Amino acid sequence: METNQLNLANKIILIFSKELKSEWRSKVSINSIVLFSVVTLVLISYSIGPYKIDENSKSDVFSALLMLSLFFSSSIGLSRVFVKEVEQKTEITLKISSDPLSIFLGKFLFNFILIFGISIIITPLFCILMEFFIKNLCLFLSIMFISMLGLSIVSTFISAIVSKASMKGALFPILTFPILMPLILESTKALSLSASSEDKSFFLQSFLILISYSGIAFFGSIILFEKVWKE
Amino acid sequence: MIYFAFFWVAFSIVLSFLYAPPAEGFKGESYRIVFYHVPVAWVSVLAFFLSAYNSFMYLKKKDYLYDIKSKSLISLGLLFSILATISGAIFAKIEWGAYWNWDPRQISITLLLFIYSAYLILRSSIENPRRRANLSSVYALFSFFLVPFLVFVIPRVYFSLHPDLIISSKGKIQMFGPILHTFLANLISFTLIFLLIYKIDWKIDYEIYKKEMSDE
Amino acid sequence: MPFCNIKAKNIHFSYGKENILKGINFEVSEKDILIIKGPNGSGKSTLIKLLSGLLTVDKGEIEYYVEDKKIEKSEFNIFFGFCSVEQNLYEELTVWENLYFLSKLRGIILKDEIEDYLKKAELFSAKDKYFKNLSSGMRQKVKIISSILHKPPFLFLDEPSTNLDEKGIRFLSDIIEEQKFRGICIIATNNENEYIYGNKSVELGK
Repeated sequence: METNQLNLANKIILIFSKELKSEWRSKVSINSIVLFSVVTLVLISYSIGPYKIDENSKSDVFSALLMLSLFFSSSIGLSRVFVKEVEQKTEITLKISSDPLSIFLGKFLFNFILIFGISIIITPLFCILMEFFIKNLCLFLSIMFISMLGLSIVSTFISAIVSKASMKGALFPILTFPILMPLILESTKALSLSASSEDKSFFLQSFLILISYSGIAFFGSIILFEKVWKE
Repeated sequence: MIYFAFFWVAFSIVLSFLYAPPAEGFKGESYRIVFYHVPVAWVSVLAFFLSAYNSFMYLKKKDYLYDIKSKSLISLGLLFSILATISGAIFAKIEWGAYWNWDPRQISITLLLFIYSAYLILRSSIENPRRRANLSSVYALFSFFLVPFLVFVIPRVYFSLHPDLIISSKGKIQMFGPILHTFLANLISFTLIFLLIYKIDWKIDYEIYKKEMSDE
Repeated sequence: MPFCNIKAKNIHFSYGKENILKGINFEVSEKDILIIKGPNGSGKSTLIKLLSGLLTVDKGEIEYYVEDKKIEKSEFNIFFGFCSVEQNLYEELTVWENLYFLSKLRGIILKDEIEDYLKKAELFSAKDKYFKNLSSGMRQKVKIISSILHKPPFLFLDEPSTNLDEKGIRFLSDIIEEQKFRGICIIATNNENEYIYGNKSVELGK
């Protein structure tokens, strides 16, 4: 009996590419997230528009709206990652063939790429429609990157919990919102600052808060995921 | 125990209205709500810590007793955090002119409220008792990892109207003498009330659980 | 020929207040085929899930040995094969991709082996079909193949002949015959035609 276990990185990539392949063929998550974000964007643009808000509060309002639309899009798309395993009854197959750690990490990687990709597409659209110009693009993007990192860790973890409960769709935002709130508050503030001023002094503090949030969420979910996955 | 608690609660209510002198820098007698507001808020945080401990023990020992305890802690925590929110809002209206101004501590308590409710909703949406106990413990622990952020980091980092931990407010009065005594008495009395209700609550639930087990 | 066995001691399991299993004991070693019998709802599927590590026992112990070495939880995925009616493979992947993915996850890729099994099961021409387009009998055969590609010493089958036609059943008995030389096979079933495979049995729900 050969026991050449693949190393962790290979297994993660394998699970990630399986997710990617089946997502590419069904496109359920991508389509729903993109459509949802575009609908939100159109609604915001129609009801608020670029000129109804005065210059000074623009960056505050628009970063909050941007983060909110990303949060709700994530609750539609990212929750699918474990829910679909349960719906298609493939959960047992996956459970018996691999270990919890690589499953979690593979799925988290997929969710992260998905939501970060979406945010990269949505943000410029938002900026164009809203006449919202970002002063410090580099900081803006790095804040976006870390926030989406934290967002996708928490979403992946809660998705695993929700997949085992009834009324999955409604439960997901209820469970994620309070946990994600510190992240959303902090990143909204940081996004707004990086959009409105050249000043970089805020960055280190926000960066540390977001990184430590993501770090705790990451290790917390790795420790607890096994409890969720194996009953 | 119950008689002692009863006496103590009555005693500290009397203290808070008659013994403690009016504080300077507050409108009228409004500051007296602090004697109830802070202990209630403290209890709701305490409930959260205790439920995290019980959730951890459930995951370790797989004994339903811990799950039952954790559930009654969360329900009580919800009750107390609602009380804290309301009493805080009343005080805020009188002192700062608005019921709600998204003060960092208001954010913290609201989020605690949301987490408690989310926990209870999660419980109600899982039928299988083993799975329910397992997943709700995981959720309680996971939020416990991230909630120190809400309760401790955010109020430190953001500008807050709230006095630092214990009353001192605008006038920078540290608590002293009778006010401090009254405050501590109330803190103890609310903790006692909380512990008593908690004990009754989980014992009832546990009896029901045991009865169901033996009926089968 | 590896020496392997499973020892189950006093297994208890309950879903909340419903006690499903109370004190199950057995021991099986290589070449044994154990049949778990019992009426619906007697806990056959639960027992096979417990044995394959998908659920954890409330009380009691299950131990697995290969060549006198105890198998740890983290190694279950390479030593165990599992096929159940409650399980499905990925609908958006083709037959080939499914099998390739599942065996590669365990660190084993034997393309010839996959082809061999597909030919034996008369599925070779369907290897590039999406799993969702297969008939239920074909699905069942692919699931059986997926459970044995990594040559597990412990094979767990839950109602394996569901949806299979005569040829499919012959394929299944070949697989079970093959498993005898690799280790242990445990089958949970209440289909009397499957009883003939076994040399030992456990009856539940009495």
